[in-house]
Amino acid sequence: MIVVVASIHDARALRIVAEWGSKSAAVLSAEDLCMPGWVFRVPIDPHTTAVIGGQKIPGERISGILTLRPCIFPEELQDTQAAHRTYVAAELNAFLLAWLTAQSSRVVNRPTACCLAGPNWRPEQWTQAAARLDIPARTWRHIPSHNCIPNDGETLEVITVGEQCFGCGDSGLREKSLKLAQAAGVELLSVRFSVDRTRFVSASAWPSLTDPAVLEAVRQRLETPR
Amino acid sequence: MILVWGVQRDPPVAAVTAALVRRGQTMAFVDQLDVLTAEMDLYVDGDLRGRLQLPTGELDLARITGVYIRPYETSRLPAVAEAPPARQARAAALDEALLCWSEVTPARVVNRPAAMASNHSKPYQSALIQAQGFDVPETLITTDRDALEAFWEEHGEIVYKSISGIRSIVTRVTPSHRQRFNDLANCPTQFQRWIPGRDIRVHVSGDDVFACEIKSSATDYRYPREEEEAPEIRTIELPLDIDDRCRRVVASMSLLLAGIDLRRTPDGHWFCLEVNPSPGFTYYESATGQPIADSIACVLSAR
Repeated sequence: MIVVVASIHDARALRIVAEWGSKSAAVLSAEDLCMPGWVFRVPIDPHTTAVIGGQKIPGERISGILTLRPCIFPEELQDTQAAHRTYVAAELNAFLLAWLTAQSSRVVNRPTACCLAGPNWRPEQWTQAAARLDIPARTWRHIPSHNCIPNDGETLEVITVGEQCFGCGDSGLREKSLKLAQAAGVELLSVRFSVDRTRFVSASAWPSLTDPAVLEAVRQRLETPR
Repeated sequence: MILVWGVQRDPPVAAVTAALVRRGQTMAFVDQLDVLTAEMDLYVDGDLRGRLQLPTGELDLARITGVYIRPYETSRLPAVAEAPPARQARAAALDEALLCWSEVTPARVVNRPAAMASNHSKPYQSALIQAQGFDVPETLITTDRDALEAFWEEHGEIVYKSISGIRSIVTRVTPSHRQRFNDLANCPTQFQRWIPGRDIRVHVSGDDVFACEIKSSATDYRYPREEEEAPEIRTIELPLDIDDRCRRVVASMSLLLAGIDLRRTPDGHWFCLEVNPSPGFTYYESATGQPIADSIACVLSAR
């Protein structure tokens, strides 16, 4: 079973599960975390029980996990008393981080202490990582006005899934994207470059996943043992 | 130059500031209460440049070689909480910019925000601690009352505490709690085997290790319920292997400073309960005379 960690209101997640078939994929929502049946132990015990799509699922049945959210936000916990939402959200995030990290199956993108999916780098951190790989890049931030990322409007996008690349076919940009994904420790990454192909513009560990070829590559990746 | 970011009356911030002054170290203080008026520019390309405009003057961030950060949650500062939304947004943006700079600056940062993040999930952190050779208490996180009953039966005495970094009072589970077990379904809850023994607090600051023993009969010595439970604190020497494990844990988390909570059982077994990456070390420093603030100042000043 492939687990998609997302909000139950995330249309993209619901579309992905529909595409992959509800018998082989299901959404793990914040609501699932607040249902009877979760059993998780430290030191790590492989015989854990999760609640996914409202059903108790033994940990061994999970073959891969796609995480489509950086965290659970207090505002989405509408069944929780307003005064307790911030605390409950912190508890759910702390639990989900530990649970995702402990999974022996493939998790895309793997969580970090800062985020349920990937490193959650700021534009400056992506820029610094790109510059260290000799990919020209720059950002400027000014307070009290807004963050200023150079954006020429049109960009070229490369999406990496493991060692595969999709989108722009420029081999040089694909190689740079793979290096950036490796530096960030992510398997799934969208990297945008300027149209003249000279400069890194931005990166995101949450690509849109609207391209069927990308989605199929993600599915295959999730079914490949680590 | 060393940058200290926090609230001046916060005891650890005041202690580090005083220690830096004793060393004759040039220092810039970013008072968190100035977030509503400060300005900042941050440029990143092949290099990193930045400027912070404070009420006391302009600061070139390229001159900063060491950073001590211990900010409070800005939104809870009275001046910010009472400000109009636009001003609150500006305060949040300045916080975010400073945190971002703290991640990318080549200066020595005590501690980088990403390195401190493991403290937001105790079971996640426990796995990191265990990977460095420490035993950690058996832990159950569950929404299932049967699983809890089985865990309680297995371990005899258990406690519960928050999963996240939100501070909670460690509390023993007693039969009277059974009436609340059905509430487990509302939110996963963390239970741990109660580890009997003596609390040991270890501060690792760079290459320095300061250990002290805390004698208290309270379940959580930070919250004594009566005078008899008030903690007695004294300096101790750690066994070499425990000293080594503490250093390894801190290094593995990319921290330059940490407060480590250990417990030594009556039969001499050592457990690691938690690693605090922003320790309120002055409580222990004032009880023992250990020069922790001076050590932190030394770490910050190192080239």
